[in-house]
Amino acid sequence: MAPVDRSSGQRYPPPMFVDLATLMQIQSLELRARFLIDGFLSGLHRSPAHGFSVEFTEYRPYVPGDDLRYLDWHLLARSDRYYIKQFEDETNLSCSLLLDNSRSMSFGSVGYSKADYGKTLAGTLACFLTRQRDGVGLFRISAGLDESIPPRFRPGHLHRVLHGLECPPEGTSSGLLPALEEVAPRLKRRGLLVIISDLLMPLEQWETRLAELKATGSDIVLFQILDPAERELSFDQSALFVDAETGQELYIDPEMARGTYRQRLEEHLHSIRQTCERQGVFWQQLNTTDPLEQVLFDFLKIRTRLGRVRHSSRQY
Amino acid sequence: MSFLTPFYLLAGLAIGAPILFHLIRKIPKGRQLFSSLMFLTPSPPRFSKQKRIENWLLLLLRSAALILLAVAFARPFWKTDSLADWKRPSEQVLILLDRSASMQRPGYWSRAVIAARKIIDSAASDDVLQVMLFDETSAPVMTFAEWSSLPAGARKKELLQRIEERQPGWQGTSGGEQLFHATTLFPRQETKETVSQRIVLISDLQAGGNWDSLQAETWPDQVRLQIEDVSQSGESNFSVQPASDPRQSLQQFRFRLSSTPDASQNSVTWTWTEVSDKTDVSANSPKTNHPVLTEDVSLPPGESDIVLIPRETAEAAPAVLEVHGDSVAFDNRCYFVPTPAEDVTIVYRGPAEETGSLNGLRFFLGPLFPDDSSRRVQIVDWKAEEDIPSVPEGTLHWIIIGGDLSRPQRDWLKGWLRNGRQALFVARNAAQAALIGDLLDIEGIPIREETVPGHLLLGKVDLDHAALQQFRGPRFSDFTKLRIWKYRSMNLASVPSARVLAALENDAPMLFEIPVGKGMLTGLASGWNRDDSDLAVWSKFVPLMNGLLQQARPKTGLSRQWIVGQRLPFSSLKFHSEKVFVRHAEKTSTHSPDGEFVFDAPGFYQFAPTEEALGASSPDESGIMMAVNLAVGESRTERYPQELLEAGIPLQKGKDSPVDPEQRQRHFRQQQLQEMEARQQWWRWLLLGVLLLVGTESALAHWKGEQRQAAPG
Repeated sequence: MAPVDRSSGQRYPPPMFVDLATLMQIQSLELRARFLIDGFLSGLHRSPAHGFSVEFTEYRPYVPGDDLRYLDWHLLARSDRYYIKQFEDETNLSCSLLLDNSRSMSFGSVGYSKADYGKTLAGTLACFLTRQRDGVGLFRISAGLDESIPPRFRPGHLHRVLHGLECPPEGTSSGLLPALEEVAPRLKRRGLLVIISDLLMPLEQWETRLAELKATGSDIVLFQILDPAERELSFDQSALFVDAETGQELYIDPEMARGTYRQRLEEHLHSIRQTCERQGVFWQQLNTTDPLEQVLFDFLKIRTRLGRVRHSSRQY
Repeated sequence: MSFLTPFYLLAGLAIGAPILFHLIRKIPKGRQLFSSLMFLTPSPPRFSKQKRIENWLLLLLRSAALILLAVAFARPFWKTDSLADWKRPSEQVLILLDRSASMQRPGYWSRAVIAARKIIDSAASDDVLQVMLFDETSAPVMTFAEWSSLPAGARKKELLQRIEERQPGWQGTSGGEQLFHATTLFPRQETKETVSQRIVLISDLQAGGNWDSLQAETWPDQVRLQIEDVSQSGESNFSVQPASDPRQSLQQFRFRLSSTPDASQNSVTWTWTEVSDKTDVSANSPKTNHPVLTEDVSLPPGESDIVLIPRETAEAAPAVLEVHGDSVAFDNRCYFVPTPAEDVTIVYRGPAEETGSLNGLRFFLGPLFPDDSSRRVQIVDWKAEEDIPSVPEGTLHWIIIGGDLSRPQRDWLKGWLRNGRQALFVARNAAQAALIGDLLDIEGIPIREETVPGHLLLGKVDLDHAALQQFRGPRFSDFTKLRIWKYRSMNLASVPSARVLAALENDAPMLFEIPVGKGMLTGLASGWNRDDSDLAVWSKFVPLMNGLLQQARPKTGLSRQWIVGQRLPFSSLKFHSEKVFVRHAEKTSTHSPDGEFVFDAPGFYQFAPTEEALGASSPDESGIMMAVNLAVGESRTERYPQELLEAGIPLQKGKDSPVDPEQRQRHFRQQQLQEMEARQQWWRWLLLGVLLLVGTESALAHWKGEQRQAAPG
């Protein structure tokens, strides 16, 4: 299915969508990410919608008086259009990816886990941002802050970030909130923080942590990843359900428990949404069956919006 | 097919349990890893909506096991004709009838006889019976052999007649001993035919019946016990017995007044009545209605109290202590004859100059032997000029030598010892101690005077000796307070018959005894004068000397208090007559002086060498009077716990031997069916089948479980 502009509902020609199950069989995260990016970008280039391209964020139309040293001569030769190439620091973001690597992310009912989906998403974003000459960093969290890679745009840095993403899930999500407390002081440069987590945890301190992160001046995008079986409790058999993080065991009859479960989950999601709205955090709930291209598409819009705002704020 | 216990078939309804279980949605053995249980609450298992039974094979196996088990317990068998000629095994029945004193209570014996008659009447024609009466011992009324020797039609009648002629006695009860003894009286089986053996105990099962002795025995498995209890409840029994040996009493006589735990009253009156007339003595009941003493006593059930009778009141006359007011009268009387005090003479031979001196032995002799109700002790000095002591030989019991002896005195003393008498020789010095050798006719016993630097203590004491056994208890066996400064060391190696009773620390004999002919010479190596030792001020000196005196006294102290069943040898009376006459309850009997008399009833008994002596005016001149009372245990009339008696014994209930002919026929038929089932024993095969089914079910359930776990997802 072609990606859809969620705000306008406009559907774009389908890029080369890769079946996620097939994609996840690619062991190398870097390969997966590049595959997705190439497919996504080639689809976007075929798009008739002007002014909407990742690359476009790096250019602006020439106006008399601009310095001709920054005229993109290649683009002139290709398209007969005069555009000024933006300086990197004018459009580049410092983007930190915060990946929840707790054991709850290891659950999956579609052939791959939320952690696989989240890492692929994070890797793809890292590749994409690197292509945009944005600095990319990584915070990997499980019981606490396991790894912290400051955002950079340097040769080899992407490889380091991708390597950091490939660590297997461990620890409990109860470590996410304390870890966010550690992350906040490390966000020295106003930029973008992308949180990828299932957020299956008590929410008592959640708004406080978000507020601390926002106070650093960073923009926050939150991708909450859930498995379809988690959303619907789509199990047939009664079984002894085992919590992936705590090891707690409960005998569950899904048929009996489904209604209450869904209600509680919706309440949880609603609470997260409201908190994010209050704190000005972009929140998107993803299923592990959602095409990553769609997610990239949405992220691109966010990225574009943030770049314009910055640009415009710099001009004025 | 028939069933011996068909009601066990109802247990087959238990197969509903596995059916129900198979309808229940099973608790799954699968596990599902889930990201978080924070939105989940546990779900209880519920029935399958389709009411579908799963695992039919397991259900069938389980149901079959339960059904087989129920059938096995129902004891199935096939009725065959092989038992048409089955003959009920004959039975050997031994009836043990209690005839102890407690059966004297009104109605007890008659109930016992009725119970015996019932057993005898219900006996089958081929049964063999024996009846024994028991109390302290047992005696047959009719043995198995006698029964079998009588014509079949006359056996029961003869046996019943013999029982009717019997009456209960007055002896105590050795219930446990006699009951176990009865198990040995069954005749040995000479054929392979099965014979049933049963003992029927007909008794009041009173607590004083000594039933506990049965617990020490192993009851034979083939002998069943049937108990016919003839006791009745609601009795209040008070009893009185002598509390201690009257020979040991000092100022008063002590009697114990007791009530049984099941008594319903808590007060009683006792009277003390002296028997002053010979007719009273003969008739065993004080006809004079003037008790000397009487008192009302409050005594809760199960408690006892002491009744004190002043000594001077009971000094001479026999008396009866009787309780009044309880519902059981057979044990209300206690007959009492005070034992007269015996005159005991001790002769002392010692230096005259020591009389009154603290350093002499004589000074301490006087208070050594206090009088009591059994004796009056007199100490007579044997003067140096007297060849023999100046006291009648019949009253002379003991001689103490604390000085030299002249030749005639030595010779007399030797003869006195050899005739079976005893003397105590106290060695004062080495020269005087040498007299021991002379008395023993042994020369050269090494004797040496020893003076100890400091003092010596006793090193060894032979507590097995009769005079020293009183010191056996830990409270009394401390001999460290006796100090000896001087002693005469004697090497008794040349006297093999010498027995050292106490030795000093250096193993020198201190107290020893040496047999002389029929008598005994006791020796003391150190005197109790203050120069020699602390003996005179030692706390154990008085009991030691009285112990030696008690040993030396000839056994003339005859007890006047006896228990029913005890035996009195006539020789102990020392009548020296051709006959012995005994009067009791207005009856006089004559006996040979070589025999013995068995007390068979409570009361007063007079023993005299002549019939005229029985008719003397006062009891003191009527020979010797004895008082005989019941065994103490017979007054414990409360019921012995039957479950204690039955422990470990195969019991037969009364219904096993019904009297009603229809009941007997049904009982016989039931025995036939039991015999049929016992020959087939199908229940064993059924239990084997249950085990096989359970094993198969377990293996199948295990295999299915493994399959379920191996299945993906």
